[in-house]
Amino acid sequence: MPKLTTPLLRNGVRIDASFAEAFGMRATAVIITAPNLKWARQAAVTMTGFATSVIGCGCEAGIDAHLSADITPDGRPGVRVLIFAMSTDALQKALSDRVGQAVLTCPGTACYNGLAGSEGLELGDALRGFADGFQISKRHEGRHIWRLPVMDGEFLCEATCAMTRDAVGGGNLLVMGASPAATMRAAEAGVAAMQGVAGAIMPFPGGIVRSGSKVGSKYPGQSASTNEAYCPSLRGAVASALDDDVASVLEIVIDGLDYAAVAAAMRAGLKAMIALGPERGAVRIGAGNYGGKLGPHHFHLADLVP
Amino acid sequence: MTLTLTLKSPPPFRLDMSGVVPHLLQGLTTQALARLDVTTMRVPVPLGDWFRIAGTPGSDMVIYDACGELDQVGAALQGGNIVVAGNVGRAAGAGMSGGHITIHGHAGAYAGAMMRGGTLDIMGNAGDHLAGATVGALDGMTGGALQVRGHAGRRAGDRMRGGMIVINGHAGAQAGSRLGGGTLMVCGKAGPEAGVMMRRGTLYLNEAGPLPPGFVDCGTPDLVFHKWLAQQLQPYGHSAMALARAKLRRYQGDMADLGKGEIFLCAP
Repeated sequence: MPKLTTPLLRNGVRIDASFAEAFGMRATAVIITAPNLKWARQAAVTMTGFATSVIGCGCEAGIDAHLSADITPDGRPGVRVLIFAMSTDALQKALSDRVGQAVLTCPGTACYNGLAGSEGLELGDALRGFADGFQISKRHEGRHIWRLPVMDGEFLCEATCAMTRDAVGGGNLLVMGASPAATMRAAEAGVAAMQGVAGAIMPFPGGIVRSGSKVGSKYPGQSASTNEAYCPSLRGAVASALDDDVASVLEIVIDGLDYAAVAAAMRAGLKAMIALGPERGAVRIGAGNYGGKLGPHHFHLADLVP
Repeated sequence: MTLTLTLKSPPPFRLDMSGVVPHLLQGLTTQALARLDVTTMRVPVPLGDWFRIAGTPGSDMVIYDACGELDQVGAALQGGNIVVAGNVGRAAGAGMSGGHITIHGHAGAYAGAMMRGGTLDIMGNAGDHLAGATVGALDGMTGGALQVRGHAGRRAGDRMRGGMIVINGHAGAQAGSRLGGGTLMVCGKAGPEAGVMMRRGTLYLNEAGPLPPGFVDCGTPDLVFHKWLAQQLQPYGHSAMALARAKLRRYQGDMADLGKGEIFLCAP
């Protein structure tokens, strides 16, 4: 498909002739189960807290899906959590720390590998020592489970967890509206639609980030700083990227287990936000990139709009 | 292509079938198959003297009209499928590391002894030392899955180190003796002294005779492991799943040995 030089118009919403630039990442997935969805979610929310950006959190993580009891390994309700990092070591550390502090500690939970694949990370293998010699190893048809006695019974944890090197992080959409309320409404609709896509997460609070950044800063040691071109309050003072009718900008960042998952999430988000129209939602949707020189994965909005 | 062996009549002596497994028969002609020695005596006994042979050696094999004089059927099997119509003798599936064996009849002692992988399904009863260690072996079953739809004899799972055994019926005395790992389920009643000298591993017993004195009562904890195991037991039938989901009392032992084994016994 030829790349556009002028914006597309869909349902009155302007779609930039731009693309999101994304990077390769390492990722893993775990399934957390509990006696009910409330406690499975509680563990997942705690585990994925403070995991918005690898810049400051070491990893990016989020809830991918709620799982009904009939499809989880132990027949209890559960959630699937995805974790992304820039290296295998960073991913291993994030996984061990977060499962150890947020899932092992959470009442009633169990934790299992949530990804197919042969390359493995330590999951229960990294936590079994907590049981101080009382841990029990069970193997059945290729699966290896650790049973760790804890005060409410046992913490059941799969020994290892698969990792993928095909993950993609940094897919994004810039949502621009005529008012903060309309922009928020559009971004929320976009995130809600994206949450229905398997294998993709939006790691920022509620899936939305308001502090979109550029690389570097005038201050030494500051690796990222505010993206002034998209700050409405600086419109007249800098080389602004904003039109006169844009009063607020929010960004949705997407990480996926592969390129297709990120593309599917962006497609779903665009469709939902376009359907909302410019009066109730966004007047314009763009995407952030670095000129195509840094990230190997390019998601052109023209290829993704309905 | 399936190789079919049909026993002509029950032999007056035992036959050693350990050499009649798919991976050892590849490329053999029917004439070569017929010359295979299955003797357990000083004089050779050609396979063709006792079996009608049809088909070509491949991954699948069927033995019709089998009887209890056929020892080591499917022993050291590495892959493929063996289906037996009739009973088998001693050590069926012993040392197998892969593949599937289904016996539509009863099996003698030491069935599945020292199994390392694959699945062994015995539709009838099994003799003593199911999945155990034969003379001179240090370990019994170390991997794979074994199901007995009927009953099993004494010392089922003796020296077992890994894998899964499900006995849908009853088991004789000392089931799980000297167990070092793995899981053994008895959906019926286990005889006295189940788990004697057990070091590690797990027994699930629906009913049992008196346990050895070296087991301590750990109460009736509600463990997620039971729920996980019940999900894995779907291929083994309702009775196995029901046992995993029952209210179970946990006994740890045998404290006369390492004491890290456990017996889950249905709580009244």
